[in-house]
Amino acid sequence: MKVYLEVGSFLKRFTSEQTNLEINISGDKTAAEVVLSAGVPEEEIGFITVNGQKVDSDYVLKENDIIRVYPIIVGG
Amino acid sequence: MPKVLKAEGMNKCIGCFTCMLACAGVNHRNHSISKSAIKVRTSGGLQGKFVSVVCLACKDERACAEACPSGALEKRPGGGVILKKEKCIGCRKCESACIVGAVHFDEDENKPIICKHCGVCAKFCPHECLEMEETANDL
Amino acid sequence: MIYEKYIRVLYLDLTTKKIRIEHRKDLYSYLGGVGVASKLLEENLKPELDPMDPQQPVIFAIGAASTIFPVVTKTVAMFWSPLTGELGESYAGGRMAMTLFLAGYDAIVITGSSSKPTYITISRNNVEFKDARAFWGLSCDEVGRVVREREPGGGKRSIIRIGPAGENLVSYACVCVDTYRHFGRLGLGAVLGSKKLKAISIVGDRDLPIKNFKDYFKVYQEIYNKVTDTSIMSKYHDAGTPVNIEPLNAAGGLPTKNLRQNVFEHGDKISGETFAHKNLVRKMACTGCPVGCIHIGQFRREFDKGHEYEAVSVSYDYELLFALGSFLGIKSSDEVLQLIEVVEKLGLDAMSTGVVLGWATEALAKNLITLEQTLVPLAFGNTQAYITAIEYIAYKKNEFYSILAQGAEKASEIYGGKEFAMTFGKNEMPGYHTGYGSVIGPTVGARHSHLCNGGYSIDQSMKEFDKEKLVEKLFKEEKERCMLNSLIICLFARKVYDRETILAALNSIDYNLTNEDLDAIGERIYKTKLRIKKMMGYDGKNVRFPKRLFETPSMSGQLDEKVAYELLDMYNKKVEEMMAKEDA
Repeated sequence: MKVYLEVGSFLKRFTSEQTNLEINISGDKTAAEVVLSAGVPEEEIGFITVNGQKVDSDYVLKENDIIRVYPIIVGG
Repeated sequence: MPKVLKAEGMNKCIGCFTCMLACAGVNHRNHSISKSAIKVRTSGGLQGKFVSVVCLACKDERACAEACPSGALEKRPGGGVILKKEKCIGCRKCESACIVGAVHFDEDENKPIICKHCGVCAKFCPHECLEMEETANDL
Repeated sequence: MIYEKYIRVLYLDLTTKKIRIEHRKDLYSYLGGVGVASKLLEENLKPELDPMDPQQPVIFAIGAASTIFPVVTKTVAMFWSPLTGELGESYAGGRMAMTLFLAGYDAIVITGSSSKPTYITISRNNVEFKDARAFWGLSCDEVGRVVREREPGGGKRSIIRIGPAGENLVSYACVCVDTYRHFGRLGLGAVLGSKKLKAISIVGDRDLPIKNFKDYFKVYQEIYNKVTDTSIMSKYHDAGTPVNIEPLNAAGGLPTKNLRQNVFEHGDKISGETFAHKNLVRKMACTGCPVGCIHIGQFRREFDKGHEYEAVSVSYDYELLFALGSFLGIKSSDEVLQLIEVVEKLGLDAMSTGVVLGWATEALAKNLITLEQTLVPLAFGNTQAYITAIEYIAYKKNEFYSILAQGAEKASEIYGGKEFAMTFGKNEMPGYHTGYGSVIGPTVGARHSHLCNGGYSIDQSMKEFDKEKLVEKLFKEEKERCMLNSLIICLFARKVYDRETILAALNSIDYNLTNEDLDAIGERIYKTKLRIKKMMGYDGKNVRFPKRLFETPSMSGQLDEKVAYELLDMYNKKVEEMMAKEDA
């Protein structure tokens, strides 16, 4: 099945500058698995949303889900 | 082939002074940026551009060496000069002879600070402002 | 003093115009930075006098590893804060630490006050008090220029100065350091203003041989590689801290319109990406930092009809985009930069200014104050009104603005609206509404800043909310940062400077420290700060949380006021336990 991954400004360095990816997955896959397999390192992931809602990393994806990954909030 | 320092990427400079700290540390075993052969500064306050004042590695005739009365500055293959400390009398003629102001004077040592083109500043430049370039031996 | 077992303190008295130098062996166990500054503040403080009495001291200190290791760039200032009425502690980067280090002073204690405007020049072999009467009234920008042209030492010099807000004793006036950096928070600018001290120019150029080059340079290289190879480099250098706007806005943690909202509908127009595309013209670094996180943004201003334009450049950071952006409902990057420019020129703390104006905007809408008082129609998104209001704050235009110049806490005491005066311990809030950590952290933090213990960061990393764990982490981090701030590293590099790295660095420059020593140093410093706070009248039980924090959901969901007070109690108990241990 098909899901969509959106990668914001900072994290796109890990996805060869691609910001919108269409990904085919088979079987049960979690949001975190898709983000990681797209190349975003675990330590760079702040949080993930699916269809605009913040989800836990073990959220199991459904057909046509739109996943978006955000960087860690930085500061002193 | 000999190499010389080229500061052609100064538009990328962030003014971190790491090059100066590294040069002073490695070449003079000193923490003070005053001892660095490369000087990074702003022209017109911090809102101005960063510029570097460093030996341009003159080939053929070297004004600093010509001005030296005691033969302490020897021609370096590829450009620039090598300071022979034991021959230097601290007269500062090399300092005024360098028209780009790249010969600095070390008041504590009473000797000029001469760039060796060793490349340590380029190695510690985090933003590719400084590079070592191969050049023909002019000697 | 590096390679010596003492701290070299320069004492300056503005009343007598006399100086003295002391080599303080007793301060050596405080390492440097905030440790040394806390002790010096404690012993020079005059608790019987008013916090704003010109006789109160101001301390500046550099750290045990300043300048000579990568990203160890900060100078600390400690004072009695006119904003909170208690501990004033603020950090600035730029070149100041390098110049003090190479002028040969670990700390400066400034006491007394001048009858006429003065500026001070400091070098390794001279200190002078000079006439600054003609500088009085100049903007931060202008006074920097005139001192730069008048004083020698370009390239090895740092110039710190105040603007009109400091002169006029605005409680959250800042001190500008080398144009783009600041002692931003808690009103150091007003303290210098009360002393009629307009500027300090420091030149550092002494000879300082490296004692053990091999060891030192090995550690230096390891840290340099760690900094430049890991992602902190790209994170802070690339779009910089403004990258935060996007995730905070998406997760509902971006304080917007005086925290009436946790999401800004125009967030994308002031995001780090937008600034990078539209305004970013340059990046810069503090001395000794290969990262270069200082982002300079430019906007074009039409100053007259007939295509009369000027290009204006100012530095921007996440906290500024929050305080003078989302918090005031400002919808474009150009307008945010316009507000930053005014704040810069006048010498105000950008964060407090934005948060104070957020309160005033809502107070006006709720008719707690009137247009006759505000003089301009303060409304979220109205940049022009805010520009004028910022000027009125700096010059204390009328009675209302004189009160607004004392902070949101004071203004809400007089006019009402405490429930939406967004302060922690009387200090205006930072731009993180991330959870209990972002609420408790700055409330219990020694200087009421998110930087005290990084509560917002704990909110992010804690998988499941656990009261005990949160309190324990905050407490531990507060102590750890006391130690880090005695070095004084930039907290952006705190992950690079783990214990192992710190020990390697310090021991390569002649210290002989163990991990337990670092623990002890952190705790010793924290206790000193808590003693000072007590002397200043602070009681951890008397703090309040603005109700708004519990009305607008945070990034971790709705917060409960009762839980917040419970956490506060828990933290206070930990503090009491630690302090009792000392007395025993």
